[in-house]
Amino acid sequence: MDPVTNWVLVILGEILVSIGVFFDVVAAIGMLRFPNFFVRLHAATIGAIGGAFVPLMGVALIAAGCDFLGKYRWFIAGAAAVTGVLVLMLAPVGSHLLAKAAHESRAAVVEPKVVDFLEEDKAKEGGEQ
Amino acid sequence: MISLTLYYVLMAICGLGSVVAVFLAIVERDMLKAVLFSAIQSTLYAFLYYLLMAPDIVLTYIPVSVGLYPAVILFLIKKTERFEDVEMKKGVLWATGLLSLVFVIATAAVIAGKGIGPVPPPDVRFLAGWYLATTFNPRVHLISAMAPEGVTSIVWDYRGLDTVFETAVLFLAIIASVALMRGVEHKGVYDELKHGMTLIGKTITKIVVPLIIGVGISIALHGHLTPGGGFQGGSALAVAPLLVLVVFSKYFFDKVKFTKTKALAIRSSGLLGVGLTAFAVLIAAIFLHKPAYILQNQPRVGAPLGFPWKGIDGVLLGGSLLSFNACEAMAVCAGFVILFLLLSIPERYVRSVVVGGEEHEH
Amino acid sequence: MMSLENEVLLFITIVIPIFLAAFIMYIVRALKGPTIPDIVLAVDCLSYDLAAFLALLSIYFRSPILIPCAIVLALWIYALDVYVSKYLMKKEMGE
Repeated sequence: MDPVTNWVLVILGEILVSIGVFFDVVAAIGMLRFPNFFVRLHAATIGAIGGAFVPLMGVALIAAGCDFLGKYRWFIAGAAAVTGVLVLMLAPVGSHLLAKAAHESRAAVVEPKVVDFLEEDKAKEGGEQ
Repeated sequence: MISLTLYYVLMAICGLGSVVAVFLAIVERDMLKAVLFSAIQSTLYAFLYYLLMAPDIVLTYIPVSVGLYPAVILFLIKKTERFEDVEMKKGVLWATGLLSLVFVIATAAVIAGKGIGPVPPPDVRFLAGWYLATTFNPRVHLISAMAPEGVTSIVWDYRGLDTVFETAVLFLAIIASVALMRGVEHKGVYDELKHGMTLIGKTITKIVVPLIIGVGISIALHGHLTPGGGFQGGSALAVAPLLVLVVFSKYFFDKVKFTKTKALAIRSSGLLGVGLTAFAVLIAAIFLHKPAYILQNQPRVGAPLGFPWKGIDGVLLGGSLLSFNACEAMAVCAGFVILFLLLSIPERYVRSVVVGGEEHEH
Repeated sequence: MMSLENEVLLFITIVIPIFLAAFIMYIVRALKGPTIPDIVLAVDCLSYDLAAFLALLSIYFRSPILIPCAIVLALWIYALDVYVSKYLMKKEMGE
């Protein structure tokens, strides 16, 4: 490929990685400062999607532009993109299962709470049985 | 030079974090938390191995210590109890913490002061050079393993007998568990709504399982070319049925009629494959009236027969390593499946069978 | 004019400490807890970010052979979520 395309790919990738790193730090601060599990879930979303999926796509672009890596740069680019897609699918489901388990087993308190329909439904079911 | 400093800082943070995690895992009374602390330690160690340029170890370490080990411990917690009833005394706790701190600092001081000589020692460097020169070298075919991946060549060629014995140890462990649980048969009808986890979890697991199987197979069959190998591939593959077992429930296996006996058959054929590969050259040599060794891969001095190492268009086959890796992966994966199928039988049922048996005897 | 290679390496050198700061915060949360879901969530985030970091480092070290580690890390940390939430939900693993 010609140098201009390489530069464009690398710069685009670096912008994505920079955005990802920013999200990463923000999510980490949130993870540390938020008061309880259900609030920290929000930080986890930013950490997984903004802090992992976006930089992985950036890495794929950088690798595609780095011709000093030789022919095997496509290996890095492809694997980074696949990892990004996997994170995009797995992270939300992992959080969902965890949140459901935490709610059901009462391992974490729901706080601050406006309304909790899941809890009300469960109480109703329990009452009927 | 800034990059080298960063490198050391990264390694130091990983090392420190894992020491703290291990300490917490030991003093924690809640076993579930202890498992999670050990998972933190594993993740940090995986990163440490990556920084030390040992991707083979990362590829084994993550599936085993994040995918299999927590599951085994959780199965055991399910079978026994979650909380330890004895709490560690405050004094003992502080002493343990102080001792580990002193140990870490002392070790670091000794190594930094060249107390154990140059790291790594010069004779080990010679050994490494020797391995690098002989694992793949067509010019010295008579002493070369003819596979570009150093670790797999060492595991199956340089010290193949050890690896065969390791396979046998795992085989015996599985046999022991099957023997312990004989007579405990449990079947149920799979109910989509009642059993397993939520629909979202099931759907995404359906997508992930083929991916895990693909990664596992590629780790196993590419073991002679890139980091990986039979055991690594097998333990990575075993996580796929384990996920199905946990997310879809045990009764799903009853529905698709995948029983313990079928897993045993797969396992035995894998072991048979390992055995046949070990004796293949010897058997061929007996028919051709030539000398040969057991576990022979490439031609050696005085033993002219060997596995082909190059396929069509110069594709590297790695001699016997490919066949060893494929069979080992089958055996290891099926072995873990047997183990988890046995361990997943609901505890109240197992207890009723065991207690009932005792009452019958009395 | 800076060469492409130097530019990429410089960029990665600048990014590494920022990633490091995030990792330290995740590790602190993971070690502090206090509840079990908190620890799992922190380990999750740590691993996904570590996967991105490993991919970046494999460009930095110029060794494409290191990249499969990132895929493996992302795939298997999901298993940990599943086990722990299953145990918390049902107190039984096979049902």
